[in-house]
Amino acid sequence: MKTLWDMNTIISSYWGMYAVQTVLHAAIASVLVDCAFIAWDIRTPHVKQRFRFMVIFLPLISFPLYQLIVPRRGDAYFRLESLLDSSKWFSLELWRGIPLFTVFIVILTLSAVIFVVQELLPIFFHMREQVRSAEEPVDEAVDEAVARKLSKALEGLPFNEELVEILNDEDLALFSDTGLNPRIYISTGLIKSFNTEHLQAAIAHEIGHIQRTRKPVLIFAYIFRALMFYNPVAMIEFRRLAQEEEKVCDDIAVELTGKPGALSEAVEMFRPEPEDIGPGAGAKGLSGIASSIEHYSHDALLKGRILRIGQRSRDGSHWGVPYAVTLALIVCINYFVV
Amino acid sequence: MKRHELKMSKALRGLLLMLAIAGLAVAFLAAANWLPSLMQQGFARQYDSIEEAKRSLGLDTVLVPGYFPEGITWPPSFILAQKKPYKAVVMEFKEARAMDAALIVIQSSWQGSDAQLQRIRMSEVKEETQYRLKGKKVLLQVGTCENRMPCSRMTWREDNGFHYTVLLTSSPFELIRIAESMIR
Repeated sequence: MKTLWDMNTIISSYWGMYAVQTVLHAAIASVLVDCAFIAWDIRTPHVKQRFRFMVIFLPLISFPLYQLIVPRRGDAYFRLESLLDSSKWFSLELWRGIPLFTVFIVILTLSAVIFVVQELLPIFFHMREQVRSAEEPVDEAVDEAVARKLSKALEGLPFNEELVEILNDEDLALFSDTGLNPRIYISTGLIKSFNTEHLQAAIAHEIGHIQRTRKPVLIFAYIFRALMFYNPVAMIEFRRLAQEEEKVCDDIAVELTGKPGALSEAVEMFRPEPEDIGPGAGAKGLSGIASSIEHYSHDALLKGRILRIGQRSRDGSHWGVPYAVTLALIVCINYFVV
Repeated sequence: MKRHELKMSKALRGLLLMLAIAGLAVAFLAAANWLPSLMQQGFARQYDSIEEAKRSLGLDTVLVPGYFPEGITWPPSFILAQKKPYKAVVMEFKEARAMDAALIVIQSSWQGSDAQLQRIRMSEVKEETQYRLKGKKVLLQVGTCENRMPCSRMTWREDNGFHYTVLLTSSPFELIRIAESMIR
């Protein structure tokens, strides 16, 4: 009984209700947004991003807004008439009287840990690495053939060749720094492995990322997602939003080069080797399994991108009404979920 | 069909489909809200009588007033009771021909604030005093309720471990008589 009391102290407090309802509201918003994609056959990535942004942003403000308008929302009488009263589910007693609320807390704690380990710490280490690498001397000696191939690939692309840094690395590496001084980093291994068309398509994709920083949707989405570091739905939705960003940049690359086939083939070359995927792949033990899952997941994402590049579609500019209707449904339904 | 008409048709189809999905979502949430009551007993719900609430929740003691001011009578116009997450019984009494509750009696096993169980809350406390009533330490507060009516509230703790709150939209004198009739 004491456990239920302590639970009640948490969930009847303002911040307890806030934490619970951000998760519930995000889950409902996520389902409705996915249904909107099906209902209106929405496929364009940047349109889908706008919808997914709702899932991350709305739960952050919905509870305070609802409580401001109706301060008594959340009391026993409102809960009697609500669509879903979460305290009923939380009060369900599992084994030895432990409430279901305990499972909820475990899920939130895991989400917070994943946020710190997989998102916050890598940013910190990456920033530290950038500071260190800025202090290291740059290797200026680049093979002339490699430099010529790169110059040819950059022809016609809206990017200054001097802002492309060649890394002396035999692996396939290509990434961009989208900060105040944008740069594209490309490895010698990649330049040698790709033909000019593939190289051009891959670089065009990175140019897409750099151009997209002028519309920092991802940055705002990440800030809101970070504020809900405990929210597993916000975590999943942010990752889906980031995947849409890759597709947006694929579209930009196709616009810049006019060669979707070259981009598909370039992305295909980044897929993991078959021996890195599957149950018998990689090292033994937990780290091997984790690595295998990561490779499988990465491969699935790349396969999805390759398929989509070949079937690009445009939803046109008629997403206003679907957006407004979805937003209205989310706001109205979530009001009655406490 | 012209392209514009095709687009309109697609948009309208999408709208109808989305509204149907929203309806399904509402139905699903309502079912999810009802499911815990199937699995376990004791969640907050309305009862027709105190006896029904006591039987359903296995409550031994529910203190009820023996005295009512003029215009307020037994039985309660509204009864809310629960066993989870803590035991609580709320009784509301209306005055004849009135819409709102005039007297609220709350019995709760939780030591925290029972504000979420109070349909009418005191918005401003103008005076408060602690004293002994029939040997029990009681807190008497006089002020204004949310509906801007003058009201008074008394709280105390019984030996059975329950915390009691009585709120009356009237003077404290009648409230003291009501509480006296409840305290053993």
